[in-house]
Amino acid sequence: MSESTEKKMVRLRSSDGEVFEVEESVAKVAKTLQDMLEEDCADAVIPITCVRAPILTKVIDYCKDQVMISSSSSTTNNPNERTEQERKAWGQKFMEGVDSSTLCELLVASNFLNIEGLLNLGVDKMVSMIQGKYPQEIRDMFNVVNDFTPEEEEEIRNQNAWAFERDPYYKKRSSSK
Amino acid sequence: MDDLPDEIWTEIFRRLPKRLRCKCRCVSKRWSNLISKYSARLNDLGFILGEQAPKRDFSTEVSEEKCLASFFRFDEKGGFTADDRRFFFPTGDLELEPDSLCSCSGLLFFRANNLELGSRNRVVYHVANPVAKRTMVFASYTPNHGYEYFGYGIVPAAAAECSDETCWRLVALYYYFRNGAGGEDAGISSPNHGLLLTIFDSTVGQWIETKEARFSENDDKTTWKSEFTRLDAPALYMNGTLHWLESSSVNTLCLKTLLFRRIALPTNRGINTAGRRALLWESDGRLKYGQIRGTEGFCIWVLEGAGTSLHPRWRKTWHVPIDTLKSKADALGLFFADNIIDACYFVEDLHTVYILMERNRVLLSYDILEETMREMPLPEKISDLAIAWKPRRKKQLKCGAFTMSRALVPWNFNARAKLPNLVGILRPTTESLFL
Repeated sequence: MSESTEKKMVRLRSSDGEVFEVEESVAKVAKTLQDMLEEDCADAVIPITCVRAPILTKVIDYCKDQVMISSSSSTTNNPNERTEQERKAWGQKFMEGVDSSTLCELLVASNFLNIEGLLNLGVDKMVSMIQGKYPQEIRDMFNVVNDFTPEEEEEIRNQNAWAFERDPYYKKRSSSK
Repeated sequence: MDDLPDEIWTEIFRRLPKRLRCKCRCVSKRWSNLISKYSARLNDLGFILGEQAPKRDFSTEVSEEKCLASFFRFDEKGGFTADDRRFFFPTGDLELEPDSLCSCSGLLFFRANNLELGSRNRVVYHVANPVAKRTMVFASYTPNHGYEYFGYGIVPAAAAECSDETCWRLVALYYYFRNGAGGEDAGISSPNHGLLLTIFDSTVGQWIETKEARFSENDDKTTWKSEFTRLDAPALYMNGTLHWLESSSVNTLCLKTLLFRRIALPTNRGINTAGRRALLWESDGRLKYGQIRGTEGFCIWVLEGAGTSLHPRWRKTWHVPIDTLKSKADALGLFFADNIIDACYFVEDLHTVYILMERNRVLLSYDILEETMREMPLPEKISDLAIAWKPRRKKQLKCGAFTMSRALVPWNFNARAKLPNLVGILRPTTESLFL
């Protein structure tokens, strides 16, 4: 689609002042930026105030890949188009080694920039991180403060006791207390 | 951590299994609140639950003009009683799409256009619980697909019953294509065209993107054309798979694996044969297909090998001779002609086939062993055209009428019920006949 237009560059500035120059098509993956570009209010550097440079790098990586996919599949013959499995594997690889704080920043960034695909990837990653964990482990992982009083925690745990039932691991733990 | 907005957290919780979600409630107050809010919405959707759960055998009548639905109730003993409860759907500027009407687990589903919004994207789905007298509206699936244009051309929707009776699912079929690509002949194999099935799951509270319905490898993708038709009859849910009839195929979608299959019909039904009745039904856990063929009469096929890795195929079981049909019709003074075959609906149960002469409101039963045919008058309350029916359980036969106002009025026949004019419909099982 964008083949006819010449490659226009867009400059983005992260919250810590680093400036990235990317092709317009790459920036347009982010719907927020797309809107800005279409309204022509972005000749200078676009400040992205809530995203740090390392996160922005990652986001740009993602956008570049999306551009590559869509440009290859918009032509009639598309050997580069990924199958479902490849896409999944790619997503996993992309998210590999991302720790919880980076992940949160990524989620905030993709939410702010309105990049649905990345948001989905992040949420999936989040789910996989939560899976199989106990409340305390989840708190530790995401630095969530336990603001329940001991009584409240006891109560809410009882309410949701079934979720912990049939979990031999949990039973072992609670009986050893 | 706390800077993640609520909506992202909700999205995360949405994708967690229920058990894990409950565990997460113990993490912090904020998590607990968010999950409670989300669960409340789910409970709202699953309002089939509890004391006010409707009986399964509810039928509905929706009048197009008034958006009025009334419900009739059928008890297990074969009684037929009109329920005095009436139920009003919100009218406003909603335009009902009566073809989208379907029901499962006693709930009613239909689609409506919000004319006020003026865009064809403003399609909403309704789910109604006639007992609780509640409706719920949820938005139609919004494509998130990267495609420039999304065709809403044909959207047969069917409610599929779940094994878990506390939830329901609605399946909608979309045909999409990219703007300016290929034209309608490009077929499904073209990357610019596709068939998308989305499922609304009441336990999730959202449309689940099934991505593209997968095709089994045996499917000849190239023969697929964009020949979507309306659903002739409600989709059939059997063995975890949804079946619906199209002009030249039976389409199946396994709700678990999301494997989409297209099984060609055993005989040519033709595309422009609106009047040519063909029926799809279930008995003995198998899919059956019936259609009048030439001079042979009404033929019945059974699908073999469904649910296996093999490509399923049809096997012809037996047929009702056309002569018998004609002579009986003549004897009763009924209207029947082999070139006007829309005069009949058929259904088969064990070794008896039931034939409904819709214009004459007479039910015929043909015994395959004795080769005899007998007739039974239908309840007088049915006074309109087009009668369709479907059996459900082995011992239970259900039939109903689509009236001019598109009301679906089913009623039951039960072997144990003392309905003098219907005694003897069900006979001892001789399953070996069909297996």
